[in-house]
Amino acid sequence: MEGVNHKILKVDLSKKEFTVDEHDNIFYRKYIGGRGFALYYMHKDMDPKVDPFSPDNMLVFAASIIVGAQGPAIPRLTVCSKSPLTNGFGESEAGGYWAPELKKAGFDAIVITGKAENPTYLYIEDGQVEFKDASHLWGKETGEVQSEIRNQHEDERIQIAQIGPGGENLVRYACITNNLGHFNGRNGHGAVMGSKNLKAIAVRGRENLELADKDKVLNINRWTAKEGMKNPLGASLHEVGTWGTVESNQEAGALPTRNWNLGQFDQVDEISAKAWKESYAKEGRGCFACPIRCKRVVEVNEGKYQVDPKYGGPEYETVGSFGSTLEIANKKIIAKANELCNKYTLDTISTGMTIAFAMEAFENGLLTEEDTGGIKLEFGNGDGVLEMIEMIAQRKGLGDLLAEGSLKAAQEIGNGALKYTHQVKGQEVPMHDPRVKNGVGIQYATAGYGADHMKAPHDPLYSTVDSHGIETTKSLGIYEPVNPLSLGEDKVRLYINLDIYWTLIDMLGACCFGYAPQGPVSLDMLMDLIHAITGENISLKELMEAAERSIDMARVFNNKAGLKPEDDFLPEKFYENFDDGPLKGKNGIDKDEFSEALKLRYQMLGWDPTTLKPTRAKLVRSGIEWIE
Amino acid sequence: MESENKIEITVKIVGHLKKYISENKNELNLQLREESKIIDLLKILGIPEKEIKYIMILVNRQPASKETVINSGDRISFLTLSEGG
Repeated sequence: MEGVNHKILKVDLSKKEFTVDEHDNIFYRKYIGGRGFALYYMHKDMDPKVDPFSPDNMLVFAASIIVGAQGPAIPRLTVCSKSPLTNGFGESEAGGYWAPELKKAGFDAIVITGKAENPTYLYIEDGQVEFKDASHLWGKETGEVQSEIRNQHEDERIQIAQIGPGGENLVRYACITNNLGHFNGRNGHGAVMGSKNLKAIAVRGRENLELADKDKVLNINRWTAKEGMKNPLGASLHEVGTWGTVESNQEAGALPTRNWNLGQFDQVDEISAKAWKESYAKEGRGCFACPIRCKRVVEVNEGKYQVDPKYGGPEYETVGSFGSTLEIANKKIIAKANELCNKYTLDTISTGMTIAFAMEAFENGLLTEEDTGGIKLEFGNGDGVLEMIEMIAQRKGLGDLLAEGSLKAAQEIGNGALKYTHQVKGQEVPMHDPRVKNGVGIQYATAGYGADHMKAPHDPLYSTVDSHGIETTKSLGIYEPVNPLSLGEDKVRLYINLDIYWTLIDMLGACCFGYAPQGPVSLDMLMDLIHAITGENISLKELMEAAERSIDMARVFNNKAGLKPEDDFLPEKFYENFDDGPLKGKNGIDKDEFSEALKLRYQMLGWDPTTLKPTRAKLVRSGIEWIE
Repeated sequence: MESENKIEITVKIVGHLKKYISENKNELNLQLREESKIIDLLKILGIPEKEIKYIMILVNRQPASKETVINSGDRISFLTLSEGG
């Protein structure tokens, strides 16, 4: 197989040793990349019951069989570990440049165990691996660390995945950043990195990957840049990034506002795509070899809230979690909050949502100014939010409790504080309301790694016979539209297909913004790309089976880790009708109907709905009975 | 027919379809013939039918399709599909 190195690096930080596993083509066809690689090692070499902060937890950085080739929208880095936020299998993807660089440096993935005695960074250059002292970098912000490592090696092209103080201080939702503007955001892998005293992994590769048909790969990229961008969905991302979602969700009556107590934000015009474009937005950025360039960049160069553009800019999720959710309309404060999270490596969704929880607890008297260190933690208090981010990153005062995540904080506070949390498996929900797209609710409840909006495409892509999703994913066996508000058999069937397919997209290190049903590149073209890179006649059936295999592997991992069927739930808020706004009195999800939908989903996957154990037959069929 | 009844509606466009209307008028108040469907409204606005695949159609914030019949007082939303971030 071309396009891969056939090598996975294994690092033991405790012993300061590394080895290299060499794998044959069958391994790559079976596990593809990303979570596939990670789950193979996490089942083979670790006990799912270990504490996430134990040296025995495994931390995997994975590319895929196609990452590193110059195809469109295939830059993604997957990081997996046992999550300190969910206590189960954790997974998070990031765009950027790091994973392609790792491939060029000679490895397809890195599997890390142990704990370094002192702060350490790994330096990987053209197949060579060094353990470097990071004592002088510990405690520093990400921008400074990137500059220092690049200066030290006198090479500006080194790609660095790293943590800031949030990860070092074991904030349970600390993220990992690469190139300062791309994030393995969710699940707290940054804290796992911190628990291992691992500050950064710097990679540099000068060897271009051998591709089976390089011209074809480049042609597909050229097509995407020219013809593909005529697709309004790709063009819109190029034009306004994900900011367009602010106004869409507002119009739908479902923009998370005031910790999800409202569905519309009365100052939305201040935080819309138009408002950003006309104020602090600079030219957008992108990822390795991708023509879409959806990443927003902002700069504030005067006044109290100066924001450095090297940290990128807030995406929709961040504008939602620090803007409408906290009732903050001041873009400078939202941009500053984003910059601070990026410097300290805090996931912006969980940070914003945990502060939203604390604000509601404060307004209801469960937290006082004595708890907050004198901060009036009321909705709309932007300076209070910025101060709280600092306190969380440093685990100071109330920040120490909030660094545990909203669920653990609420359990500690007691007195009914839990009702102000909106989380699944301990992970705070992202900025999409499942009451207007019920399939998203199925995703939130069933994602093995906690509430996540990127587990499958959203319902509106499949809402009518004319929808882009229906047109572009027939080869997945999706033929009919499904009402976004359905939780019937049609919805469950749709979401099994979509879940498996998007799991595949993640495993391939592909970005959903590039590929059908949302992006311009069709499924046929994706298959052409895979063939052109690998030279192997891999089929869509085989790929879908690999994705489903990984879903079963994650479930078995979670079962062994102690997660229960009741951990697949939906936050209570979503069973309630909207309290206000245009959807007032409407759209609450029917609990029984939802429960039946989940049961049917488990059965479709061949899992016992009362234990969530895949049947032995299912594991045998997937060739993974060894994980049982 | 001159004597037929008209209904009054509001149209809100978010996203790329704004290019078909005046940029600063993304919320429109229109009169339509009774029994008009979404597809008729698109024609009146000069929006090609092929654009439907890229949008979510809402009538009074609930999912709708090109065949949905519009009633007086309805608010119609055309939202370019977007997610992620």
